[in-house]
Amino acid sequence: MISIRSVSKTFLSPSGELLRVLQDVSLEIPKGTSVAIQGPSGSGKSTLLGLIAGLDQPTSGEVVVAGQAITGLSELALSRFRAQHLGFVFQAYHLLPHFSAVQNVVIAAEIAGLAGAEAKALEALARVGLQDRAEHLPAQLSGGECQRVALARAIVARPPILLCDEPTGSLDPVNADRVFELLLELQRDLGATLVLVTHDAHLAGRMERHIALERGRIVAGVA
Amino acid sequence: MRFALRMALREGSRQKGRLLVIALCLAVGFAAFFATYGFSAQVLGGIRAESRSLLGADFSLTAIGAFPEELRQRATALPGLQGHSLVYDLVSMAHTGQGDTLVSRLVEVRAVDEAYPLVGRLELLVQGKAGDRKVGGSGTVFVERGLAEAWGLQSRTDGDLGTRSALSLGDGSLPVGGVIALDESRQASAFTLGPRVLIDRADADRLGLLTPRSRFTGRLLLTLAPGADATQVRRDLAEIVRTASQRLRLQSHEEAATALARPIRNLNRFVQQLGLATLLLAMLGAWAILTAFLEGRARDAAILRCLGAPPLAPARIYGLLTMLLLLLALALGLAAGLGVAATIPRWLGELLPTVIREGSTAAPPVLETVLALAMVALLTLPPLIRLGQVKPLTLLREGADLQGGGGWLGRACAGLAFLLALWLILRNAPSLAVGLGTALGMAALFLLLYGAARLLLWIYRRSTKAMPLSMRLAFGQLSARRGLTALMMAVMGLAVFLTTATQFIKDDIVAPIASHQGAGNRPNLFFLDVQTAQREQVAARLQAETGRAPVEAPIVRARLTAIGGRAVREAQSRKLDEEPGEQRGNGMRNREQNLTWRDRLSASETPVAGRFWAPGLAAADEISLEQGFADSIGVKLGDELTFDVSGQEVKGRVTSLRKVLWQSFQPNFFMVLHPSLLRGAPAVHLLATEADPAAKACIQGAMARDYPNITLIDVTDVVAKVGRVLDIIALITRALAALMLASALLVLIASLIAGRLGRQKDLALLRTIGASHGTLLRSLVWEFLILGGSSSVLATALAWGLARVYTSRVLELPTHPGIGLGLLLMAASAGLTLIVGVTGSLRVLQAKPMDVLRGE
Repeated sequence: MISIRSVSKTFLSPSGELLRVLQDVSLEIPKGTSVAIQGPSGSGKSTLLGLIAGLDQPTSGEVVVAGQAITGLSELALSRFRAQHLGFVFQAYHLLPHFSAVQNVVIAAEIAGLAGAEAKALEALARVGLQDRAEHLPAQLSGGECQRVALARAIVARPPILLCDEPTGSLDPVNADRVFELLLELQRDLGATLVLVTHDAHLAGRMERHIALERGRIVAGVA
Repeated sequence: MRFALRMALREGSRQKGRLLVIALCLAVGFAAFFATYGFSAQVLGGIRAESRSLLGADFSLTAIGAFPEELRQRATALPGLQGHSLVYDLVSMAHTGQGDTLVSRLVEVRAVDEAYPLVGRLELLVQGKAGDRKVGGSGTVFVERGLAEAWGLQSRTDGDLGTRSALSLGDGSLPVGGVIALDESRQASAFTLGPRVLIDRADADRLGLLTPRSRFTGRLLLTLAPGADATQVRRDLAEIVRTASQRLRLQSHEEAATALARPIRNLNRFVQQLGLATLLLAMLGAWAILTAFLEGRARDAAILRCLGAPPLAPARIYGLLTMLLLLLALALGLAAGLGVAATIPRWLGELLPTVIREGSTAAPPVLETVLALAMVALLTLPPLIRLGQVKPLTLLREGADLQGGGGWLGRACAGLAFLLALWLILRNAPSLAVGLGTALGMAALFLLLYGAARLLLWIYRRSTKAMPLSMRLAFGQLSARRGLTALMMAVMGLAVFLTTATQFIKDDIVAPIASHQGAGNRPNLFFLDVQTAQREQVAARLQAETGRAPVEAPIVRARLTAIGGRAVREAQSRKLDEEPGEQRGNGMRNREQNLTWRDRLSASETPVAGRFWAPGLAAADEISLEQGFADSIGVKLGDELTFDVSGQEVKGRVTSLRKVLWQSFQPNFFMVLHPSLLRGAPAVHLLATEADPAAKACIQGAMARDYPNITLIDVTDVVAKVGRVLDIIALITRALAALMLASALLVLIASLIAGRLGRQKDLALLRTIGASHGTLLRSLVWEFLILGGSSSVLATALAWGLARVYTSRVLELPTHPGIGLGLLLMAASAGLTLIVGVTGSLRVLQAKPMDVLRGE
């Protein structure tokens, strides 16, 4: 489902120094599995997630997602790819602040080209238990509720892959547990592949596979 | 595209309050421009449309004195002409009443034939009723309504001429036939010596008004036959003028309109230029507002891209939203501006020199509007494109932000926008030089202000350690988006500059005139042809009546016979195809001149070249000329002038040129000679005094009765009209200046609204890490004090300097050091910026940090 082949990513620092964020990383993630990517700050977790999402291009190597080599695709093709195959959940929620909960989900459904976007958005909100908060703005919701809206937004188009960057990092333990449970439940329902970046060993322990990154290299869990 | 439109409408609907304020800010600039442009276009268009009525014909041929019969026959026999009317214009003293009730004043007489008027409306009221009476052949006199009311004149039809039923003119009297309710041709006169009186041409002749001794003008009015070739007729008439033995002046109604429009064209241009400056300011403000608004949308754009929106989707969405905002602002501005433009003529009423028909409106300036919109679109293109280039990956890192200046595209857009602004300015400038000067001046000023703002922010980075925390925070806010802050400061500075410069220049124009108003400094009664033997007696009489010593000036009539030893007649005879300016120069050289002598300059004169002779100098062959007059007759400093004064030759050398403030209504002259040159020459005297309205009629009557040889001119109406025009100039400049400052403040408000979320987050973060409410409030005060204060100080200083240069070099007026006014305007603009900025940010400051951070 997700195949990362000898991927390296380097940046030129402002001082002119070459930073090797990822070094010759290879990884295979089968369809429907859940994978946790762990590692200290600066180990390349978010960069790897960005490469899988087609948000960034590797310096070398190849990324194949859902049978499609996304390395070198045009921006437009990458946009279509994200809209049809990926659902995102961020640590900082990243909801559109001027739009209500339902509108945030509707917009994602429209971008994916779904017919009956509003109905599907309400359905997704109901799925995360927020049907009563549909017309609230993000500022009127709690952190846990905002992240559930983000979950609804991620699943509205029923994508085969869910990418999560510290989805519970901003939440208290109770809410974090609730959101994580919901995430796993949704993944199971959709039969989606779940890639989760986290520092939380407890959450990572509940995933089927773990990959540990350190200084841009996979140091554990290579498949 | 459908998705983009839907998103734009959603965003518009979700943020309608904020977007409406932004649209209103932009609308103010549009409204100011449309109002001033609409008004100017309406007045000038009205003059063009009414030009036939104003001239009273399609063509007129004018001669000094009696119109030659042979020329009249030749002109009226030309093919293509339909109607003709010969009228004579002159000024004369008119009297009515007897004994103690005798009143008199100078009137403008038009002697007409039965064909008059050929074109335009002439409404005559007989005993208060309109009819189809004609003046020609009536055997009566028709007077302007104002004069009839002032003197209580009544028309009588029973032959019984009561004391107020007849008007004495020249050698006799005529019964008052009625009142002139409307005379469209009369509205052509921007400056009049008295009310108009219409009489039959034969009656004027009979009363001795048209004798060779009188000064009058003959005017042959001609109308075209339907379908006639106007160009050909003009050519034929020009041929008659060219071959005529007597000097004639040919004028078409279009040319007359141009001449009529000239006196108000300068005022129009001034108002129009101010409107244009307000529009450009608003467009720059729009740029600042929309840039702030679009830069605040970077995070939203990144989210949309992460969700799979195509790369250009954010640019399309916010581009459409920008377009909708601009169209809304344009619609609001157009409605408000044209509404105001339509009401101004009603408000100005009689001050306008033409009939502006009720409900007639000028067409909106489409090209200017399109250019202005294109300018804003070009300026907002770089931030829009940067939105399209937002990397969604930034959401996984520190958060999205718009960085970079847009590279070559940004510079190309700015360059194109500048070219459009240049075109806009050139289209509305009176000349290419003025247009280029204005455009380059504004660009230089903007760059100077922008550069100064960037320099200030650069200095901050080098001196933060020495500043208190609140000030560091303020500079931190200002430096967070250096480009936008500098842009805001430049826009604010430009607004303050235009506001203060306008006020400085207006004060320089108005102050010298206004200083002559009131307290006996502004004569409204002029007494001409006072004989030397009568002078002391008349002066004493006027002082007794008014309580003020009259202003006096001797007048010696003379002819200029030679300039630099060359006879002036030679110069005239050799040029038949000369330029209009040269014709005027010949006219000025050859006409009878009024000379005066004085040993000092009057308060309304300023020497501009050479040196005026010292007071008390016993003898000197020195002459001082008014600058414009010297130019028109081709005389320069050092030239020798020779005059024929009653057969005696008088010679002198031009040693100084003066600028005369004619609007001061002081007795002023083109030529002032040293007293020793005119000693013993036959002179009459001009006396002028300011009389109270109540005493005026009494003085006029008494003087007419006791000194029948003296000509009296009452300029009260003209003085009042000048005063009203000055008031209007002051009002319009004040209103436009206020509008400019308001635009700048609205730009500030709009940019605060546009960047509220970012500011809210910054303040919430600072409060979270322990900054007190007081510290943050002080930081806001510092921020807006720096923003408003520095731009105000710099802009006012520039305005002060440049206004002085403009007034002295371009207007050639003495400048007044308006430091007090400058400081006041500077403090006011800085204070307003501070109040508006801090008040507008209080809501942001009061937001709970948790709510703000949760909203993130």
